[in-house]
Amino acid sequence: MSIGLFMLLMVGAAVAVRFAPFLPERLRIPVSLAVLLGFLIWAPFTLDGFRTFQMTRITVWVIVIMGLNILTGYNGQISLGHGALVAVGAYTAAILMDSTEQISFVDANPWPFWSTIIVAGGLTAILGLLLGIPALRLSGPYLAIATLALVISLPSIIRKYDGFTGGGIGIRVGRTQPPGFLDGILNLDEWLYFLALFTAVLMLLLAWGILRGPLGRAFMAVRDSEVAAAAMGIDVARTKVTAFTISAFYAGVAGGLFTQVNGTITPESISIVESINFLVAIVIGGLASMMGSVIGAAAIIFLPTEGPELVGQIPYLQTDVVERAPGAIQGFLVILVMLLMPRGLAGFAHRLAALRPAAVVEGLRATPGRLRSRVEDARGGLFSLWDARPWNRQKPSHPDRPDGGEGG
Amino acid sequence: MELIGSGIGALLESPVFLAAPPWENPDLFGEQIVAGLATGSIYALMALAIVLIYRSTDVLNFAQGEMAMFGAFAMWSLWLAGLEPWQIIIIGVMLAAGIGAVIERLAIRPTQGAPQLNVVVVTLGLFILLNSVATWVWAQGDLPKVFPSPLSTTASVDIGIARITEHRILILGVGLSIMVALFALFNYTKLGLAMRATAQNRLASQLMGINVGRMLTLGWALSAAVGGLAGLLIAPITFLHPGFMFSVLIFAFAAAVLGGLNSPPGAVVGGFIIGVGENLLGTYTPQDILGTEMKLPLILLLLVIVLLVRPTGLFGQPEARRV
Amino acid sequence: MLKVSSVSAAYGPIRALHDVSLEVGEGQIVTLLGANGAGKSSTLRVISGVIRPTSGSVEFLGQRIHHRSPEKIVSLGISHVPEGRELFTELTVAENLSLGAYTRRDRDGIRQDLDRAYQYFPLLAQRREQHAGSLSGGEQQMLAIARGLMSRPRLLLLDEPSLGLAPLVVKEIFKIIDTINREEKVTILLVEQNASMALSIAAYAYVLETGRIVLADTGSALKDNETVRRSYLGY
Repeated sequence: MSIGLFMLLMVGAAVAVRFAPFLPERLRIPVSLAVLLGFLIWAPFTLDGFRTFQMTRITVWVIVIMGLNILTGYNGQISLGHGALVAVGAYTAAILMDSTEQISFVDANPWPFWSTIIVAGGLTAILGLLLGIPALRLSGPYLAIATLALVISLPSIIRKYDGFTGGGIGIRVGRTQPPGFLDGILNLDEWLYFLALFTAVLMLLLAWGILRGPLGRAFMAVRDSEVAAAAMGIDVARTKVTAFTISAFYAGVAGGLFTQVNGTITPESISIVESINFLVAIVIGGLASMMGSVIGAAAIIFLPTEGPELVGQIPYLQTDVVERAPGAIQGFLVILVMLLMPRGLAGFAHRLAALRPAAVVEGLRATPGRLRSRVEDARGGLFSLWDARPWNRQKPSHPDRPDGGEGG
Repeated sequence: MELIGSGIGALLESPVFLAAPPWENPDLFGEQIVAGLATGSIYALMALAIVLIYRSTDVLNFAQGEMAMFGAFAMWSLWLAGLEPWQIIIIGVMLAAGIGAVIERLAIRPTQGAPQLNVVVVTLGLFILLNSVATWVWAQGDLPKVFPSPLSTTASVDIGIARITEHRILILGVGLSIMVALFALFNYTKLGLAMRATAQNRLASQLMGINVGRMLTLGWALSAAVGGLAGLLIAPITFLHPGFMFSVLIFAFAAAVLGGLNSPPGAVVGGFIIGVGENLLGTYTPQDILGTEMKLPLILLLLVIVLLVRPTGLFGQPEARRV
Repeated sequence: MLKVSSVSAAYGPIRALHDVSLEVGEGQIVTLLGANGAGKSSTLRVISGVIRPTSGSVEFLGQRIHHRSPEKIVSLGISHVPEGRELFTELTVAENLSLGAYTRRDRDGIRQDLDRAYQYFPLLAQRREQHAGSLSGGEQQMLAIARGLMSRPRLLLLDEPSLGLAPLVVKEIFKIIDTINREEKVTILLVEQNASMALSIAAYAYVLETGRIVLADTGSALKDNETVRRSYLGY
């Protein structure tokens, strides 16, 4: 099955359950989430190895993007540099797992894979804390460029200090094998997918826990107005640094997973383009929406890989555009989504869900009238152009117009 | 841990330098400065393009470099078609301006009123789009493509304090004249005044009878033309390939931020500082721990330090953001 | 000269004006009174073309103008001095004034008008090279009015010129408004919260409440009107 079809099926089923009339209202959301999860668990058994691996990649990016959404969507700090944080997490895990003495300053006993993910998350969180403090001084665009500077510098730094990082060659640790008790049940691709899925679900629950609590409310209060937040007794600086730290933790965990899944890490593994794509994903998906992060992550992997294939099926379109310029379609779709859905895909879905049939009918009924007034507007514009002819300046008013009422 | 120890030890004992310090070889130092000023003027032009758009539309245009790249490739096609240099320049600049105007109309104007991040993402989408289309149209066969310069990029002349290649003199000359022209446009013409007014207060500009929409389109066109000229000037040195403006854009962003995103003079000063700084940091830092490969991280580190001291750059005004 | 006929306008789903009609005769000062949010500024914005009415029409010198762009309306001879002054704070006083004459092409006329503006407002002449943002509130209001006059309008729309100014300064501003009307023959539509001041110079007045015209009469008649006295004059 193609990934697109699978996704369509999955989302379709979840949405159908969400609005199913036979379920009581309070059960609908939990059940539809359960359906979603069921589909995700079924995924590796219906998709082939390559597609399963693609799903694994999406899942890892979902974790980063959730973290970035906490920082940007909920707390309002723009970061273009999350790729660097992911790289730090990935390198931490790789160095700890290294068993062949590629890196000379740690001993050759590899740590168990799960511990490296935790350490990667922790270490990156500390880095996030250290970055969050200077970030307090920078606003909007300045912060965006400073964080972009971070991700651009990182590859040169990694290459330069090859004693720690393996330089341009990187570190090879091998993909993490399934533990003994799963032998014969899951193959390597499936095992990695479930590892990623399990971590992602755990991180999603953590995010929901944080964002629904007082800390989440503090994040949003600071985002909406620092002055008002401070007036409510929120420690603005501490809140912003906390958001940075949590966000970095997510990036670090995703980085740790990245190493397990790919089995190797090089300075090019996480490129600037990917780092930029993280931000694109949260905005496309929908700011300040965890579901939006999931959608956004799926979108940035699909737009370049599956998008062209779908577009290629449109008749009369030259297929070589699709093959040779996949980015053209991705870029075009990104712009289109932004122009048509300013609140991202999640926001658009919310609006669709909130539509009542009666409102739709009403809207349709009002359309001809609105169009007519548009046309009249345009015609008025033309007439005013006509009136503006210099020899026509002092023309008296239109005799056909009925007289308006007197003031009062 | 031994490695860290030995690394620091090596640094303390015998740092390796690429070049003798300035007081021992002043000629080299002079050359580094002049060459830095030449690249700096490219960064300054690109930074000016970024600042022009940022001031008038509040958009950080991440597609600025790709717009210039697109224009440079188009001019390369014109060169292959056998056009004269002056024809290429005129058509090229008009083309770049046209691209800028079309982008403003089709992609930027409709996002008015949307959150700032949306507009950033639109420019990132443009970045991907333009890069991909250029790859598709032009990047066939051998890369990079050689881009011609009317002057030599290798033969150098002595200008008293240093030797410099002819093409770099061209860069400095053209770059400075564009800056002077822009300064004159903004300070001594009615159009320039109207553009500055639009950047400051759109409602008031409208009430003065300024066609605000036209000013915004013009601003993008002007900025695209300036950026396109910068791309045209540096292409003979870097050669043409779809990614040739990446690093220029990064340094230009650094320059714009260093000078202050809403200050055109700041962009010029920032551009020259970054250009010279890049050269000096690459040449005069110890090669075994810093050196040429680390000049980009070092410049960016310095930028961040400057920002921490002055969060809106050297000449930038803190903005009163509408809350 | 100006005739607003049953105009309605809205900001998105919020309706700001309901069926507003008013007229301003050549050479008059007409004032528009009302509380905050009553729709006074919206009325001016419809006239100057910043917002478009959803229905109704605006006629100026016999031409329908409610579909025209603001820049077109300025060149027809309507100048709008907006609420909160909206100066170009980072530009100099001189630059602000020359922007006021943006739609004009007659260099000599502009220079004459510039000199006259400095005669009316000598304080501005002293500060010609200063940034507009560095002026005091009263000076800023004078600059806003002077800038509005630089397009040589036949109709001047003034939105709350007394806002946030000390009583003495307000008196001076109103004196200038009166002078402009009498000596320059500029028709004025004045929006004010300071009702007593406005009524003292206005020939005719309208009272707006939640987007509707509720009262209209000559300035002196309204000054004696019970409702107006209680709600807007406070005695």
